Amino acid sequence: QERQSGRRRKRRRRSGDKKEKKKKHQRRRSSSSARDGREERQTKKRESSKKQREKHFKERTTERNEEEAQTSSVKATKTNKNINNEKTRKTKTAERETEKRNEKKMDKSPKTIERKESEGKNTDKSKERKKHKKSEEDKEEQEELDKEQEEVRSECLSPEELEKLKEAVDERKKLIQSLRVKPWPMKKKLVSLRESQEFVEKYEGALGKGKGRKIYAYKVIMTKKWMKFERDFENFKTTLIPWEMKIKEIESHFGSSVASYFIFLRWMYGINMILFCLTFGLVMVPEALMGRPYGSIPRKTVPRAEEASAMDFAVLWDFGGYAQYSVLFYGFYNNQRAIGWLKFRMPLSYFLVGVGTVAYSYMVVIRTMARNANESGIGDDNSFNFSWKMFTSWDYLIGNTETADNKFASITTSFKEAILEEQESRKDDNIHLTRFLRVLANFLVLCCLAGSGYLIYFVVRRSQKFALDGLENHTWWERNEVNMVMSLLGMFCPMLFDVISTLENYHPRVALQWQLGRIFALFLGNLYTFIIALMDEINLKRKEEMIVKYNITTWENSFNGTVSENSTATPISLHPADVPRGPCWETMVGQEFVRLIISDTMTTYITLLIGDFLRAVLVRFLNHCWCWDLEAGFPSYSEFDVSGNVLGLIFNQGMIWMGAFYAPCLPALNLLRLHISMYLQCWAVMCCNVPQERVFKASGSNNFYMAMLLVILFLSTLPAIYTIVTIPPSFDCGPFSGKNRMFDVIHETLESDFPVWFSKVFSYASNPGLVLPFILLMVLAIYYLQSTSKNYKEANVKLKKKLQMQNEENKKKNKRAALKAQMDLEEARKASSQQKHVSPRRHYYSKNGRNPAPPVGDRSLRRSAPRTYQHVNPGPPGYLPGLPRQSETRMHRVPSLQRH
Amino acid sequence: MQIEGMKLYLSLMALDNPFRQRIAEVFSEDGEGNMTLDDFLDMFSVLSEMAPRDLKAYYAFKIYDFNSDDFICKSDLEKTLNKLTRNELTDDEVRMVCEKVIDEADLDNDGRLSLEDFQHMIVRAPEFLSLKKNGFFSYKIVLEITV
Repeated sequence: QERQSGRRRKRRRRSGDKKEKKKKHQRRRSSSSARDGREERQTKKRESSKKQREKHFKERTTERNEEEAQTSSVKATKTNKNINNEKTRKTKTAERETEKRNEKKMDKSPKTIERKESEGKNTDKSKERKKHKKSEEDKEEQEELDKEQEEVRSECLSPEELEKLKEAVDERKKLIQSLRVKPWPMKKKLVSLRESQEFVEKYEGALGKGKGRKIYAYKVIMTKKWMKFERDFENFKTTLIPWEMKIKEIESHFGSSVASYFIFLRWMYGINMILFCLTFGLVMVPEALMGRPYGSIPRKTVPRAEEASAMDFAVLWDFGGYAQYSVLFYGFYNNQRAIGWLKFRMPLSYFLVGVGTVAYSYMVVIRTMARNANESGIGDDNSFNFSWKMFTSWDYLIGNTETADNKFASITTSFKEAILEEQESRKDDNIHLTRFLRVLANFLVLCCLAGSGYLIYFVVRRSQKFALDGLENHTWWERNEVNMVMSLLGMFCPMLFDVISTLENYHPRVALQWQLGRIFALFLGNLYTFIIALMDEINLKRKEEMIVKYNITTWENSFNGTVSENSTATPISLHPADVPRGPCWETMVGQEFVRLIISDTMTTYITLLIGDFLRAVLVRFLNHCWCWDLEAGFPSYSEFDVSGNVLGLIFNQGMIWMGAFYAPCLPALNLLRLHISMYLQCWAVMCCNVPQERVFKASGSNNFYMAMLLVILFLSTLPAIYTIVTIPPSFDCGPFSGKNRMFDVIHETLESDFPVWFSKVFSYASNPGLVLPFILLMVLAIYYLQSTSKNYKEANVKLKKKLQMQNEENKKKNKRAALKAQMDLEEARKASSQQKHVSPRRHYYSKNGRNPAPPVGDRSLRRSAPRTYQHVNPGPPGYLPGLPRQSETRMHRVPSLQRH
Repeated sequence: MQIEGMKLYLSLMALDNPFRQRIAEVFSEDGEGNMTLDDFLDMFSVLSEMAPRDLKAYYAFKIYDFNSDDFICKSDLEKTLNKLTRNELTDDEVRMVCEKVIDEADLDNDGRLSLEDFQHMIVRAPEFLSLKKNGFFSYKIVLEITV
């Protein structure tokens, strides 16, 4: 015996044999084998004190095993402790074998008693308390271990030992790093942190690197700072989005459909900002700064006949007088090829800006549509729609009452929207009747549209006849017939459509789209009459211009004749205001558009104030002294009219695109209008509208609005392009005066500003022989891209279907598994209840791992929990700080059984 | 200008937070809402941005489990919903939403949500995926100065 232990000690002293230790360690890990080994040894060592010690140790190992199972992440560290503990034990045995035995025993005995006491307590106290105790014990072990290690260090370390030590230190370091995310109660965290830090501090020195901690601390601080910065930056970015808070507020009270209008309005504002920058920066400002000043040439001067009234407000309000002869309109610009010291090519710039605004608008609209289509394709995973709304919609960062109120409103609204969607998807009653009603409704609407179209056509024809007769011979109604009919149609037809659409019984979102489409068709008539009227006027002006031109040439010829008779040949010195001039149809078109925009804006604002605000005020205050309930009854408060407002916005934008070429000030005006209406409408909505009866969710993308905008863009560029390409510009006003067509400015630039070879290349390139194949190629490319995108879409749909099928399959499987697990659970419960009847006390012990040989059935149930969690890492039992014990035990059972 | 009062508080414990009481209950050791310093620290570590998601999910589950029976059952859901919407939904709507939630998230068909179900559902939530932005289950310190 003595020899054996002596050998052992020697082996330890050499402290190199890693394999041996590992073997032993393995033996210790599986409790049964460890027990065997210990029993073997017990037969050899017959001393009673040792037995006691042995028993105590056994308990500790089992305890440790349990802990290991629970916190697998610190497994390695614990293992290490086990090894060391074994070492301790061995040393102690060896020492005991030598003559120091008595002394040692004296030393140890108080500790043992203490432990025993603590264990006695543990059986009665909650598991958590036990954990604390355990960690204290761990600490003691740690101290022992430290002693041991110091002993080890005092001798020279073998490379294996060093390696091991390094590993241990690394483990500790890892522990420190991951401690923050460990689901332990705070006390345990603190203890293990302190302990690990001590360990690392102690041994990093031995391993020759002590800076790790500092770097780690630095890293932690930096990551924290970085996170904070990221969050602040996010916040900053959201504050940079204009009107975001306003729109969010509206959305929370009125639903996403009303908010979608405001988002659209904001988007429009952005586009107009760009258009404004283009026209303002490249056309208006250069002309104002570098062009000839006001009054230098006839086109820049108010004619003598208008001078008296040029500054009158009524005239200015109509954009006549000084406003007409300013940078705001086409006619003011000179045809000088290069202006100022910069040699700015004004006419070219004017032309390119005109083309650029349209091109930019096309690009933006199409790009946005594509992006929206993309977004709506991906993000509609609605498998947990209601659950997510229920559990994740509260924002825990809200700390202010107003925001909280908004949040409550928005959550309620979103729930209402979702409920509506759900109800709509469930509803399928009498499909034949709804189909019939829908067909009928469409028929009625078509009748309406056809009727109004004919009415417009009829009225326009009549007005042309009146115009030929001369307007003075007709009454006021006959003169203003077109406008009146248009506005009456615009007022009453939408109401009619609204009534008709109740027949259809569509989902409100779809109904809104139908409504939009119908009113859009109606408004196209408006646009058409406007364009026709404008074309007529252009033709009239051009006739007038021909006459003026003829007169001027004859007059100049006669004047020149008289001058040539005089030998002095003095230059003609006429004041620019007196020079006869043509009517300048371009300025007239620009003026028309500006007036239209102004009157349109005014109508919008006034209807807003009267229709919404005044109505709300009357309903609110007359309600006290009225025979019926105004708020609930007839007038009530108004709802926000999404379709009307959206269409107003779209048509307004169409006007801008049409007129911007002839009135560079239009984007600026529009910007102002949008800016004001943003604030005014936001206020009006929050102050005098009530939410719709059925709050519905807007479609994720605003692509329907965009599509209408694209149509309008196309329709409005057509007349603009037509006038630019086919009608020759006025002879005495505008940047293109004197040219045959406006686009000649490109030719001119190519010829005079570019080298010869360039214009040659250009002329070759514009050869039909080259252009036609190029167009063909483009068509082919478009066809190819379109077909591929179609294929992709199909594949996408298929994949989505597959995914859905898989999801359902999984759900079914899960349900089956759960059912099975439930049966198992019941069986197990029965078994356990039987066991409980036999020995309730032992049962409890077994849970804590104190029972040396628990009954089989009992073990199978209880052991299953910790064993499972060894594999499933962040399993529930880890998260158990500060909870009553009762719920804990249940927590153990249920998930583990589900996993089986 | 004179500063009359200053208030420093957690957004989490703001009066408007519908789950204020519940959070205090869950994190306190006695389950009544009386928190020791350690409980308080626990709360912060769970609600910090760096806390692992599983941990957050677990505590979220605890918070929504009003009767602490380790399952979110219908009564819990109704309570949650009424707190979230300030009782503005009708009874029918509430019932429907609760049914939908259980229909969606209940994987084992026992008519209530276990922790497993809850975790399975919540880790897929977009709010949960980007904690930083949406403040799901996080806190903010608010300073209010009245002038």
